[in-house]
Amino acid sequence: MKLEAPSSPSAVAVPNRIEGWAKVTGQALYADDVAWPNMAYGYLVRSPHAHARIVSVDLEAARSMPGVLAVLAGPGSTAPYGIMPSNQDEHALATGKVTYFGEPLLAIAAETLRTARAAARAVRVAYEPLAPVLKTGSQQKAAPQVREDAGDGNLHKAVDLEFGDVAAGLREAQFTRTDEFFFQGNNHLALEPHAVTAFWQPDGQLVLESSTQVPHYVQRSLARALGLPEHQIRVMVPTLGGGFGGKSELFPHEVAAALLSRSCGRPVRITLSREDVFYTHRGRHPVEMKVATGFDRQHRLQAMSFESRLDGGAYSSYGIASTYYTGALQPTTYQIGAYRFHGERWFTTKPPCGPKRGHGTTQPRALLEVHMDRVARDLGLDPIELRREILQPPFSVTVNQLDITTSGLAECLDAVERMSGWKERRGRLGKGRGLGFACSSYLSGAGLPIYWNPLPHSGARIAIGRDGGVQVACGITDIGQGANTVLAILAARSLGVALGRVRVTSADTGTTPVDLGSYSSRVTLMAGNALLTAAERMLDLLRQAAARHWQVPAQEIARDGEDFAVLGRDERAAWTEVARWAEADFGPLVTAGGYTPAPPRGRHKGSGVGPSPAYSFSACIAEVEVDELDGRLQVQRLYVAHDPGTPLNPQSVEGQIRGGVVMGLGEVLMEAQAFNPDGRHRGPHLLGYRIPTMLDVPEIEIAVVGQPDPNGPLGAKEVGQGPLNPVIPAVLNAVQDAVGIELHETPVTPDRILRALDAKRRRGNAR
Amino acid sequence: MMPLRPLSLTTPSRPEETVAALAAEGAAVLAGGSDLIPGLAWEIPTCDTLVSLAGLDALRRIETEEDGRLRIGAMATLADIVRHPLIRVGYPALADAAQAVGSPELRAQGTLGGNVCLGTRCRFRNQPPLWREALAPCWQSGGEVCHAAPAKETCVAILSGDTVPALVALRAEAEIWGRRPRRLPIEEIYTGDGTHHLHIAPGEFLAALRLPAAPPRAAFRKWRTRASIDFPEANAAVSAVWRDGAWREPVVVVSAVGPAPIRVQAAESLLDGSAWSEERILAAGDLARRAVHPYDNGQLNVAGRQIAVRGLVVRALGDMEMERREPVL
Repeated sequence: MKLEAPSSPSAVAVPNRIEGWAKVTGQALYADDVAWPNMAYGYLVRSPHAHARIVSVDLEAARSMPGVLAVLAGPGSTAPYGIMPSNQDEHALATGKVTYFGEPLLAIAAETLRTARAAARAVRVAYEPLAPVLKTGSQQKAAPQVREDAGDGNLHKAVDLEFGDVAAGLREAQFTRTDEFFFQGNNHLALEPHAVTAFWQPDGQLVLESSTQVPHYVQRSLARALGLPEHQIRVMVPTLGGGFGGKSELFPHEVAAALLSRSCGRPVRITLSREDVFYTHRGRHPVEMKVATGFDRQHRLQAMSFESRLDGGAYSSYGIASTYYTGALQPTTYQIGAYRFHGERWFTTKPPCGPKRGHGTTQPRALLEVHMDRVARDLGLDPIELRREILQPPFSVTVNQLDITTSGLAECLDAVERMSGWKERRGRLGKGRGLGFACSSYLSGAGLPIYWNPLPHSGARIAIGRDGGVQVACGITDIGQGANTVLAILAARSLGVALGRVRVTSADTGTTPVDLGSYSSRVTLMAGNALLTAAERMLDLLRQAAARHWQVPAQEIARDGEDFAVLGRDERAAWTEVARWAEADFGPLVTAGGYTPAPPRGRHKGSGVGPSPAYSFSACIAEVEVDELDGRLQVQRLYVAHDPGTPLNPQSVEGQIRGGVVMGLGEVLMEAQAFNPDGRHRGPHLLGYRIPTMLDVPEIEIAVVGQPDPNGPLGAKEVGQGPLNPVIPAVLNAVQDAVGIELHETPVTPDRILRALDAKRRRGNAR
Repeated sequence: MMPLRPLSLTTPSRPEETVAALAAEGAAVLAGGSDLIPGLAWEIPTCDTLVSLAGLDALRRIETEEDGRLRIGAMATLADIVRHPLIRVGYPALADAAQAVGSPELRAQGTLGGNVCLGTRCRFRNQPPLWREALAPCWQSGGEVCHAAPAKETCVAILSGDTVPALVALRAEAEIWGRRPRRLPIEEIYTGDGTHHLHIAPGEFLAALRLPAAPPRAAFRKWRTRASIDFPEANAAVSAVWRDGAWREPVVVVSAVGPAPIRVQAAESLLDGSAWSEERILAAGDLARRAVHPYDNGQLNVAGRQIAVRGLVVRALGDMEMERREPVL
C-alpha cells in the first residue's frame, strides 16, 4: 500500500486546525518543552497524610545539598486566594496542617530535577495525624473540622431555590416517583500534566509560561497571592495539551515557581507528574442526589424536587458555582410546573473538586435521565415519547428564569431514534442486549463573569499590516479544542480573505485583550462575537478608504473574492492595496470589539448560575450487551445527536462530539477518583485510574442538527461539553433495558454488574 | 519524567556468568523489563544490580526437542508466543493467554519468563513512593502487617501473569538454570507467599518452559475492566484429554486471586470421565467460585472477583466442549 501524503503544509488546502501541522510533526512547544538558559527545576514536597498537623519542619539538610538553589516553606503567598471572590481560602503551601493527601507544603528548586527530588527526601517534616474526613452530610458524625477558617462544621455551602409550589405539585400529582443516585467523582485526565515556567524580568515583571485555561484569572489571583499589581504579571500559555476544566484556576505549583524563581534568580520550571495531577485534581465532584417528580394525567411534569450533596474536598475552588450548577439546567430540557432545588457542598480531606467538562450538570443529568426512563417504564410509555410531550420549546423561558433561544432538542430526539432504529429494534435485540435513551443541554458560556464587573467578557483586536496579513489578538486559550482555528475562520469569513492571511495570537495577558478563559463553553460564542464586531469596524474602514479612493459612496463598494470593486464599474483593487489606502487615510489599521452577554432575567439569589446567551442540546442512544456470566458491559454502539447552532468548523465539531462522548463513556464504565478509608487515592496512576482504550470505544454515529442561533457568531453555539452529558444515563438506561437491573451509582464496572445480577437472582429465587 | 536511581547492569553472554552474577547480594533478573523498569521508577524492587538475560541467545529460541516436547526459551517475547505457528496450532490456550497481556508494545517487550516470574501485585504496594511513605511497611516491604488482609501472617499479593494458568493447564515444566539445573512442574515454582513467591533461589533463573509433545486440549479466559492493558482481576485455564468418549485428566486452574495459581480439585473430580453437559459445567463453575477467596487488593471488588471466577471457568469449559462438538480445525 502506498500512502499519499501531502509533502508540505501548503499542500493542504483547508486545514482542520491551523496548529495541526505543528502538533503532528512535534514542533508545537508545550509548557514542559519551553526551555530557558540557566533554568532551574522546581519540586513540591507533598503531604503523605490525608489530614495531619504539621508539628515541625527541618529544611537544613536539603538546603545544604550541592545543587539545591532554594527551599521554601509555606505559606508562600502573602494573602489567601481562590477562584471565587467569596472563597479566598488557598495558600501556595500548607502551614499548620495538611488537609489532603498530596497537598504541597514545601517547594524546592535545584540545578536538576534529580537533585530537587533528592532534596525533597532530605527535608524532615514531623506530622501529627488527624482523623480523615471522607463522608458528607450527616454521615460525618463528629468529624474534625477540615477548614479551620470556615465556620463551624464542614458544610461549605447550602443553597435553596424554589419556583412555584412544589409541595402542592407533588401532592396533587397523578403519578410520582423518587430516585436516588451516587455519581462518583473523576479526574479530567488531560494528556498534558500541568507545567509552568516562571521568571522575573529585569524591570521587575513576573512572567509565567503556564498550561492554564484561564490566563486572565491566573494573573488576577497571582497578583493577590503575591501582593503585586496586576500589570506586573504576564501570563502566557504555550501550546496546551488538554484542559477539560482541570487548569481553570491558580495552582500551588504556579505560585511556587514564581517564589522559587525570585528566590534563586533563575527561571524555574515545575512540571506535575501524573500522580501530582490526581492530587491537584479539581475534577468532577462526587455527588449524592435525590429526585422526586410528579406527573399529571396527561403525563405533564407538574413538579420536580432535586437535592444534591457534593463532596468538595479540602478547598472551595469553584465549589459554590458547582453546587448551583447541580440544580441549574434540569429545566432547560423539560417544561416543569414547579421546581425546587436544595444543594449542599461539604469539605472533606480529599483533593479539592472543581469543574470538569459539563461542570456540575453532568451528575444531576445522569440521575434525571435515569429517573425519566424509570418513570416511562412505570407508566408503560416509550421513554422518548414521554419526553417529547414535555420538551422545553425554542424561544421560551424556563421555570427557573432561563432564556432559551434556538433549540434543536426535538430534532436530536428524532435523529437518535431514527439512527438507532429505536422503534423497530427496542425490546427485540435478544437476551442481554438493550437500548437506552437520554438527552441533555449545556451552556454556551456563563452569563456572568466569575468576579462581578461590567466589562466585556471577551475582547478581540484585529490589525492589518502593510503586508496584507490579518493579525487577530484575543485572550482566549486554545486548549486543544480548536479555539484559535475558530477565530481564524471567523476572521477570514467576516473580512472576506483567505484563511492563510490570518494569524491568531492568543493567551497572553501582556499582548492580547482580556478574554475570561476557556471554560463554560464560552469561547466560540463570546470571543467570536467580539471578533465579529472588530471585523465589522475594520471592514468599515476599508470600505471608506476604497470609496474615497474611487470617489463613490461607500454603499457602492462591493467584494469579489478578496478584492474590492465598485458596483457597476470596472474598478477593482486587491485586498492589500485597499489596506494600504486605508492605512494612508486612517493610520495603522487596528480595530477592536468586545462582547458582553445580556443581563440574566432572574433576580433571585443564585440566579447568576445557569443563564447563557444560548444553549446547546444533545441526545444519545446507547446500544449495549451485558454478559451475565462475567458482568462485562459492552457498549456496542452510540448514536449521538447534537445541536451546536452553526457548525463553524465541521470537522472540529465532530471531534468535540467524539471526544465528549468517549469521556462520558469512561465516566460511566470505569473512571473513579476514589479513596481508601485512610484518605489515600486508590490508585493515582493510569493502572489504578482506568480510562477507555481504543478497544473499549464503540462505533459512534453522529448527527449534527439545529438552526443558527441569533446570539451566536454566524449562529454558532457550543459543542465542547454538551455531548458528554447524555452518554452516561443512556448507558445506564440501556443496562436496565438489557438485563433489568436498576443501577444506583457510577461507574458501572463488571464487578458491580455481577453483584447486581447476583442480588437480582437471589431476589428472584426468594419469590 | 521520573529519574531512576542509579543501578548497575550486567549482560553476561554465558550461563555460568549469569549464575555467578545472580548469586550476588542485591542482584535481580532483567528480562523484558516491562514491569521491572516502571517498578524501579516507583522504587519498588530493592535490587541494586540488574542481570540481563539478553546476552543468552539460547533463551530466545522456541524449538521442538527430540522427544517432541516444545521448548520455549524464557526470553521469547509474548509477541513471539502469540505468532509462533507451533504454539498457535498445538498450544492455542497459551497463545490466547499471551495475547491477553498488556498491549502490543508490552507484548513486544515482555517475555514469557518475565510473565511467569512477574512480581506479585497489590493495591497497597504497587503505588508511588509518596503513597507508601507514611504507611506501615507490609510483609513484602520488610514489615509485619498486611493492609489488604490484616489477619494474614504472610503476603497475599496477586500473581498477575496471564500465561501462568495456561501453562499449568498445559502441564508445562519449568527449566531452572543454576549451579544444579533442574526441572519441575510449573505450578511447583510458586510458594504461595506473595513476598518470595517463587521457588527460585539466588543464583538461579528460569531458562525455559517445556510443553508436552501431546498436550491436552485447553482453554484460557481473563477478567478485567478494559479490553487491553489491565492486569487480570482473575484468570482461569482448563484442560483435559478426550478419550473413549469422555473427558479425562481434567485440570481446572484459577489464578490472579492470590499469590499462587489454585487448582480446583473438586471441579476436576466432577469433570473427570464424562462428556460435559451444561449442568456439569455450571456446577464446576460453582465449585471454582467456592474454591477462591480473593482479598481486597485488586482493582475490582472481592465479591465481584469471586463471582467472576465462576464465569471464567464456565466459559473456558464451554469453549472446550463446543470445540469438541464442532472442531474449528
